[in-house]
Amino acid sequence: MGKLERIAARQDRAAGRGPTRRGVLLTGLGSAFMFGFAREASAAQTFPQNSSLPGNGAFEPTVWCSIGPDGVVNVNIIRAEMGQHIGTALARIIADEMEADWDKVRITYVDTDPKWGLMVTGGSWSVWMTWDVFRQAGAAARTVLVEEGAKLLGTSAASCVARNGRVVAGNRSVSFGDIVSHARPTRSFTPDEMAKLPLKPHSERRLIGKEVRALDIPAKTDGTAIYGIDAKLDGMVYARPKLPPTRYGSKVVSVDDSEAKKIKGYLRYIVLEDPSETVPGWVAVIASTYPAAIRATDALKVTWTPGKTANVSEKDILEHGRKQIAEKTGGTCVFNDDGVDAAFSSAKQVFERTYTCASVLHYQLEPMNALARLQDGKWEIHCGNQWQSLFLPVIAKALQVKESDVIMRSYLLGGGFGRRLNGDYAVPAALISKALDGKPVKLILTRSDDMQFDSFRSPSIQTVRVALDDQKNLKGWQHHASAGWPTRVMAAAFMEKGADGKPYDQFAIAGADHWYDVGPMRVRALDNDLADATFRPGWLRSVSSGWTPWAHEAFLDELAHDLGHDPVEFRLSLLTAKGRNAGKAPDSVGGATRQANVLKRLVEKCGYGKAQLPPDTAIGIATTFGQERAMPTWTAGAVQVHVDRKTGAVTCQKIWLVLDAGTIVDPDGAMAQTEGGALWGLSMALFENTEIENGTVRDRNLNTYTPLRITDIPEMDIEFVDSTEKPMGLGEPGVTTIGAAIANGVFNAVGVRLRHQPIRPADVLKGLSEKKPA
Amino acid sequence: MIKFKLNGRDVSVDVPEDTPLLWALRDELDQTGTKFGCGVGQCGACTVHVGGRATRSCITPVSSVEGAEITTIEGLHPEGEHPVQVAWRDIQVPQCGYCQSGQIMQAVSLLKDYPDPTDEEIDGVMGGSLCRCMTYVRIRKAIKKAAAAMREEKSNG
Amino acid sequence: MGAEKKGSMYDGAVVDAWIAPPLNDKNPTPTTWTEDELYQYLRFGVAPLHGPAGGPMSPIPHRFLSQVPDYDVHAIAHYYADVDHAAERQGHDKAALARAMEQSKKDLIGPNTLDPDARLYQGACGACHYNAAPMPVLGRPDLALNNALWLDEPTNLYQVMLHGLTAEEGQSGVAMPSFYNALSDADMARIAAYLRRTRTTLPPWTDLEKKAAEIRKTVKTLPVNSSH
Repeated sequence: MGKLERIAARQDRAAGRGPTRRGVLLTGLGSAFMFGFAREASAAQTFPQNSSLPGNGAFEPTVWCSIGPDGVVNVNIIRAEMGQHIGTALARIIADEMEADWDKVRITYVDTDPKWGLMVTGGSWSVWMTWDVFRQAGAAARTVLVEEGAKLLGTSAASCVARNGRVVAGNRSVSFGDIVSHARPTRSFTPDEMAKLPLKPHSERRLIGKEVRALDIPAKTDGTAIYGIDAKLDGMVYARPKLPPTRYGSKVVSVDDSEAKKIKGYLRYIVLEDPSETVPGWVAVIASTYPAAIRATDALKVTWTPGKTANVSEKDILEHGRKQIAEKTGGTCVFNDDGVDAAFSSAKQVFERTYTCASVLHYQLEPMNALARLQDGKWEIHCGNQWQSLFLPVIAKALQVKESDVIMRSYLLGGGFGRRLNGDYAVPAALISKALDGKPVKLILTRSDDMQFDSFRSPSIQTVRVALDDQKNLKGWQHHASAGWPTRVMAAAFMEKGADGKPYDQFAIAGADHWYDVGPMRVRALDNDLADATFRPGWLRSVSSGWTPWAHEAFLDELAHDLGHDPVEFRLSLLTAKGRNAGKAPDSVGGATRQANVLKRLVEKCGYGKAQLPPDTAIGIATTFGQERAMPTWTAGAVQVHVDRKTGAVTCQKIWLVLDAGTIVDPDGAMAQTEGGALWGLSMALFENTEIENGTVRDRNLNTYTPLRITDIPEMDIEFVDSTEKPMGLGEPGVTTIGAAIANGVFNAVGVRLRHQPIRPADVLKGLSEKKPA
Repeated sequence: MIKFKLNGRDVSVDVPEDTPLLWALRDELDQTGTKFGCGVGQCGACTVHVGGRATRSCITPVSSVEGAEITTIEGLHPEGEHPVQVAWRDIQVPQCGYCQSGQIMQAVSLLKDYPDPTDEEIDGVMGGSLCRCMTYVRIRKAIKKAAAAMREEKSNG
Repeated sequence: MGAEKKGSMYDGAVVDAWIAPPLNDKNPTPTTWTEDELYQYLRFGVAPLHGPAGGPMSPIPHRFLSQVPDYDVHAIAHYYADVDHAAERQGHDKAALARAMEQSKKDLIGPNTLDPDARLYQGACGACHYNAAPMPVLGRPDLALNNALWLDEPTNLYQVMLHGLTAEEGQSGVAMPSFYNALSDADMARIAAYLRRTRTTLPPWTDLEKKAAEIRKTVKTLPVNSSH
């Protein structure tokens, strides 16, 4: 025991604390300086922290869970924990079906293994994707425990029930732990067998939908939670990248490290050779400490020939998109209904508007990092990641090894928001380690590095037009959207096929395929290839549903005002739930009727059209179906905004949201996700954005990038519709209505229509001055 | 060797004088609860206490705290039961949690200066602490709850 | 202390690229250097209504006067309070303090989509320098009251931004970070201009970015090896 540990132990004893949690950990460490927490860099993450896992002799009916002889239930979580408390929500599903004692439930965020199948965390899919399989896995465990428990109780399975970690027959019962230790069950289930098991009805649910404390939260309040950036291995060195001037196509001409050599701790630089072409032109600087790596990277002089996009600007990309939209050919149609061309050629009037959104950075608070080493013939990559199944093969390709020789170890994510769906940061760490013969190396991007090559939300341009007959009835609808396509760039195999059979990025058009009855529709997605060539477009919270409603929900308001309708009544009249909008089981039962319901409830709540508000203050409304037509979370949002006519400043005073996401598994978690989502929507609408300048983003840190802070939050009133339908997602829907609702609110307050996001005071002032009679 | 007190114990680190306190804490002293966020003192993730005052460790040279008393999230309370930590768990504030060590350290320091903080005082002091998950509604709520608990504790003690 | 022409003694001067502010009634800070403020400053390195001693002033309380008995420090404070006519001037202090407390919270309360400089100040400085009425908290140096904003040049403001304060300097045991790598010359200029226009009643400073670069050049060793 080192000196400091002895002091600590003495202090603990003196304070009457005995061998505390901390004290126990202290005694386990050798070095005099290591008086913190043990950093088991190789261990999967388990919560509650420091709790026991099912030990030897555990019963494992499926890969998803195991029950120990002590009754402890472990649930394996293959999703990334990035703030959604996903392990808690998923464990509730399995534990409820199993009738487990929640106090004995543990969750383990597992490392990669082919047995897990697709490992991806995004799209608000986790609960929706896991719902069926975890209920089946829970049913499998329950079935065996009841069978074996019945034998121990000397009765039939039919006369037993499982409750709260016990199998009960009348007034006799036996605990799950005792069943496992005495009966030693070994039965396991194939997926087919699992699918046939009877599931509990909604009325029998005891954990789902009930309040619960998220298992990962305590560790996040005392410094013990371990994120990728906290991973540490013996003999580790540090690295920082020296980034080329363009994301693609830059070539290293020469490197001069004479100044870097003056930095104490500088070891060497490496020009990365990347067979996966993920990090072209990157140079890595290696040092014995991270501060040395920071400074040596600044001191290293690298000359590149830049790629072709070195002069591209945000405006170039938007103008390119405008041209794509103007051309009738190109792109992929998601909807291309018969009669749409006829509707427009015979239209009495065509009403058309164009909307744009600026680039938005993720600015997840933990900068990109990864730790890589070769251990026992396998390449270990330690980092937080949202799409291991996508990037493990890329890492293998970069290293020129088999996929089975690469394992990604899981850590908490200091923010995801889609950034860590792109695992590009793991590749350079692996390449550096390879160049150092497998030595452990931790690569950390500084914030400015992180922002420079963020995989950010592409700027977008959208045109919406409707055909009107002489009675002003809607006869047809077109929505054309051009933006960078993250899925084409990073995961082309995952692209969906359009109405015309051509692949398209569903995450660069979703949201435009709405549930309104507006006659024949054409929804066309255009891949902005100039964007794709200039930067690595990324998935950002709620993907395209974060920006397509900016167009069609503002457009519907404009159209309603133009036609002399109330915007809410107008929307309700279009939510007829007919044809393809009728919805279907299991994901969209009720269809557009449910969207109409949330909108009606919202209007009741917020007093839209009734509330007496001060001058230049108004409520704006928008409604969406969350992030994806195939898994709709019916969403209606209202904001109350005030516009300062003198300065053009827009203030959001209050947000109301009503959502129908089917069954709510974890009510507080659902609320937290929706609060965060709504504030992301607000931040993007009023506070944060960047622009592309000279081939990369303008902003490099918080000196100019100004996301929403605590001072900026409005009052919020969020409500979930009671439902027993299949649960949909909630990470993203909160974002989707806010931007358009603000634009609609600004129009209602001062009569100025804004079509570019973010809304800037200068644009408001310009709008106000144009409105004044000459 | 630069010496200071960390969480009540004397420590010394053998690093260049211009090393940011953050990296000395994380990499030399294994206190990784303090986080690297913006690196420019504008997000608050790296907030620790120096002499009881919230300080951005990412841009504070370790040499400048020679002889000073440093408290990190790990040392705020031996069992993690500081009223602010308790309130943070009760209200279920953290989402990804990465900023929360800094938020908690900043909030503790806020409550020293303003034991019964108004919304304005919370804005004024917490405005430098960025939360990308946007847990702000709950941060505000938890601060008020912790303040009430601390006043209660004081009046009972 | 600096050039001491007859009649302009105590008017202030430039020392080691810092401005030594006037010690007489030409001292521009909103509240008077009273005997008590002077005593706190000279004894403990920090005056509640004026802020901490930085730069070349820091060793005065912490190295030199720490060897001097208390009654002597009181005597020095008394003398300088006389020099700056504190007794006659301090009648204005209450109003000045009230105004400073109003200024202190400007743009740090409630949403602000308008002024990017205010947001920079909020991120980089506000958490430590915000104060609420009626009085600044000791350890929250209030910039609306601080010499650095009321001098003819931003020299001292820039110096302290670049260097920060060690735990030994200024208020004992607490430290201010070094923004040397954290703020560019342009960022420093934005903060300086912002503070001058919102926390004082004085005309704007000029050539702020150029002056930031000049003061940066006087910093001989990198204070902190941080990122950016």
